[in-house]
Amino acid sequence: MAYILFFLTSLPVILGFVLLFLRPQARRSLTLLIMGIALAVSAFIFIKPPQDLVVRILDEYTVSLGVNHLSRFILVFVNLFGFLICLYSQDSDEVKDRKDYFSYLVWLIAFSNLALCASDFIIFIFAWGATLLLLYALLTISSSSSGNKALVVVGIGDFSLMLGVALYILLAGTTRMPQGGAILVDTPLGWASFILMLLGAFAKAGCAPLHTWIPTAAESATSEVMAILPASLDKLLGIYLLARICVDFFILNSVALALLLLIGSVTIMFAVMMALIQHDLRKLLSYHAISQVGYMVLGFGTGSLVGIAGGIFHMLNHSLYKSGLFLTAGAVGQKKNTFELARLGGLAAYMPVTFVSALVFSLSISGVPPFNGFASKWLLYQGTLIGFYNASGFMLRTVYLIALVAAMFGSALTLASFIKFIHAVFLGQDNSSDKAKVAEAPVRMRIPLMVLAGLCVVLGVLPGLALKLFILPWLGQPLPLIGTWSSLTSCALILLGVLLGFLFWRNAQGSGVRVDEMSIGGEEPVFSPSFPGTEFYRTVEEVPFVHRIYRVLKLDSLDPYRFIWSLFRVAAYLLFIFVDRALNVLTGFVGYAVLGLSWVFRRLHTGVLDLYLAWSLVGLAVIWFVLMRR
Amino acid sequence: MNPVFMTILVPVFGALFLPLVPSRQKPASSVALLAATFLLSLLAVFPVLKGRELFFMQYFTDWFSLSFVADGLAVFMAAVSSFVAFLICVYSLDYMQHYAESGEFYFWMVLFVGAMMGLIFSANLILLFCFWEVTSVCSWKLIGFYRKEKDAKAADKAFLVTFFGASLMLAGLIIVYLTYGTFEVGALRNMPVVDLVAFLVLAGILSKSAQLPLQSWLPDAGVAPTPVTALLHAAVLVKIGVYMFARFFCLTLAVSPAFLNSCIALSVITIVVAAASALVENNIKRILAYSTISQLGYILLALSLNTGISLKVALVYILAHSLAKAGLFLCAGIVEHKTGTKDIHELGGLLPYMPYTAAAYLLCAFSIIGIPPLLGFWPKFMVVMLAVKSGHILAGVLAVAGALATLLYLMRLFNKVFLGQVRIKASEDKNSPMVWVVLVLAAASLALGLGFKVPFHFVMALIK
Repeated sequence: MAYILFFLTSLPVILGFVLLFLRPQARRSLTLLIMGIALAVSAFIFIKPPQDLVVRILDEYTVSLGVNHLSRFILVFVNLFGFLICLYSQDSDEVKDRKDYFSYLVWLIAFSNLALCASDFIIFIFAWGATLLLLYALLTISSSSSGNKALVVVGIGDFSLMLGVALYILLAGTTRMPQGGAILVDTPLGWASFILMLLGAFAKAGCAPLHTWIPTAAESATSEVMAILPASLDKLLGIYLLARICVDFFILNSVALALLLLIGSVTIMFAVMMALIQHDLRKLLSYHAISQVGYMVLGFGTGSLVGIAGGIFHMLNHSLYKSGLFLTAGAVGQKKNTFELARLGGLAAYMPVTFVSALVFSLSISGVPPFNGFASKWLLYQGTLIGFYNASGFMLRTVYLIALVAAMFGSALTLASFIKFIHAVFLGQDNSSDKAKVAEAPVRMRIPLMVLAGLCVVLGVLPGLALKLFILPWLGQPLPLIGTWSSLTSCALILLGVLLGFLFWRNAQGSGVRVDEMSIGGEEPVFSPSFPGTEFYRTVEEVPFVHRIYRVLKLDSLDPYRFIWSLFRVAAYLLFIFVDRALNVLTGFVGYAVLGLSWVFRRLHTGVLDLYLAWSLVGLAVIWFVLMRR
Repeated sequence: MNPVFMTILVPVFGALFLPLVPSRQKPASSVALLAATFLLSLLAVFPVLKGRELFFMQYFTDWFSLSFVADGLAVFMAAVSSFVAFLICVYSLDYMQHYAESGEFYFWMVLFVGAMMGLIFSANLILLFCFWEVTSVCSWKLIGFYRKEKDAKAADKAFLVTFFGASLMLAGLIIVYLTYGTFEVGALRNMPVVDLVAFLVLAGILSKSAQLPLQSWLPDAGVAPTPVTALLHAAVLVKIGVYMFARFFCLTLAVSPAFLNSCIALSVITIVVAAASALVENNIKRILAYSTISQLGYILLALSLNTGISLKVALVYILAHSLAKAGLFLCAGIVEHKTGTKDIHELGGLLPYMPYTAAAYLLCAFSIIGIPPLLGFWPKFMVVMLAVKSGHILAGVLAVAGALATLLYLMRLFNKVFLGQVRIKASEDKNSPMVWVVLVLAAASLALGLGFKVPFHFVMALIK
């Protein structure tokens, strides 16, 4: 373990400092090398897991490092993303010449690796918290305000996690992370610990209510940063923690499950509704990054093995297509210098590889078979149904139904949103001011896109393989599926359908469709006959009742960042005035009392002889009185 | 010659000889004296690491002796304090060079460090009290360095409040003497004391460490020159209180659980109230002063928990806080020195002009907040964990709330000073010792946080 840890954590941390002092070209190449080594080592760990390592830190407290079936598969993907993003960044104008970017990237991967290798809470929290610092650093590269918000919102999550872990250590009596549900969520302390840890996972993964940092970050952060953090690494880590909480740390009761289901459903629906009305490419994607977390949380809320497997599988799939989508956005943005949907369009002709990848990612995220998003959603639907059948009581069953409806309807809305995305960016007309022909993205930016898109297809066509390799070893038992889905057959049928459609289209093209000039009674047309993507669903905000939902969703006061600031500020003023200043005044009073006393004594020492004589007489009288009393 | 004795003698007598040194040599001589102090305190560390405790003892009467002891706690405090004081002195080379009275500054500063060393190693309570009062006098002169009326007032306040606490403490010490007939720390080990005595001594500790309800002098003391405030907050003055707590209640006397519980309550209230006050204030130095009060609350909380490892955790906390808080104050000093203001509303947008200062500030701030991988994370997490584990769940919750508040006020300070619109344009001088010192402090926080085994194993080797 020690040497592996060296390659995955210590070496990147040390070389991260070295990178700061290199020339840009050397810096980029060395980063790629470090990431390559880390990827190779993580693959090695996946095949041959090492022995645990225990290091004593303080008296009876130790930190221990070791991998389990879940963490070692996530480890491979963390390093894969690190490598791909690093490859992509080589040609990215936004970051490739930044002095500090590559160091942050390397450190981020190093600490994510450490978090996944942790098998006790102390070192886990350490590595976990360090990724927050790097999130802040990476976001502040482009904008300090978004970095601030992320720091505070994720900081709330991290400190909650710290407290939750402390409570858990109290309950479990050990700092080791247990394997297989150890603590019941029934006691008040158990609940507190569970909720606090959940907040930690939610803030990282970007689930409601601690999601608000993601859209803000998307406004200004570079696409690479969005692709590595909110899209992939934060999801992998956040959902990894969620999985450990729900399966390893706690035994959940039905209330806890219902809570997770509701949070998941709400997150899916509200985020996808917000995504529908976005006009900025990266903001649109960021709301989907939140919405998809809802599916994962929902999966764990089903409480069934199938749902949990679906949740983890969805986490993997989501990081593949969402980081791919952000990278696509980056490639587009680099060519057109804008992320506004209204100013993009018609890029499919110039950027075919980017277009096809984006199409694959879009269909995947929308849950269209045979892509990977469908495979995991299919498990999630089944998991919810199993949960529904097993649930007792009307209330719980209703919750399961709500979750199922939210998951399916959310998927439909996601598809709607991505039709808008594909249309606005790649189809339609070029709406940019600069209509010059753009070239395809550089090859080092294309390779990550192709790899990610390829993985989306492979995992979609062969979901059984992914389950068998990555997820089932951790769950330890086969999935009791209730539906059947032969992905290969359906894939063949879909391909056949597409082929037939293509043939019909080719056939129809030759039949001579008449194309005419537009005529409006001889008038010159005052509008351009185009239909940009931003016009899609423009009216959805005005639909009766729905507009009220939007009004609530857009409320700033729901933002925990705002909320925590207001809460702390009010509390701070009260404490400052009523405790600190009050004590200060009190201290001042003591001073005045001393001065007052000295004033009295000063009066007694005026230098007038008579006064001293009088005092002497009083003193004598006192002495006489004391002596005479005996 | 005994290194312990030398650690005290060199700065104390060195300070007394400083007025004889020509004024141009004074800064360099002070740096040399403090460097020697640091090296000598390191010499005292090695025997302790090998398990030997050094003694120096010279009796005069039955109640007063010149007796010094160097155990793990003492050498740790001495090494940390003298190291940070040395760095602050290097920083002062640039900061103080324009002041005509800088000779006086160096005299009091070196004497201050000498008195601190004496206090740390003292094994006789009366001797300890003498050094305690010498530090009060030094802080009085240093806080009032600028000699304007408000400076004098702040200095008087600091002196009077700490003197008030010290006289209560003296009363407590006398009761101890009347009970056990000795002022020797070694002879008092594990002796039970009544709560009254414990509270009297606690009054002295609270006044020195600026804990509630005796906290208000420390924010006011920010009128002093920045090296002085850094010295008070990070290296010497406020750490005396927590040192005394550790020496008295953790290592020497046996106190009742009720007393420790009230200390826990007091420290938690201090953490929260001081953090809240830091969120309200608009003066850089007052914000950082409240931050010190709040962080010392954590140290006191760790010590009050009085479990097996709480003393070790507290020591690591002291180390983390000394490095990071010195760094923060010295960063603030650079900003104040270059822009001439301490009001955060008059500052802004300094990041492009002071990149190194800003980076050092951020690292030190993250250490104070308790965000890994900086050193400050470790003791803070341990304190929360110990509080919860020993059943003081509310204390743990409030400690975490305090940490969150710390995040808010330190980032608020950073945003106001370094981000946003430029109001006063001023750039740092990259070759100045001032910038070097803050970078060293920030790097130390980072390096010790990453190599966390080093500080932990160090305190484990020192405290058996």
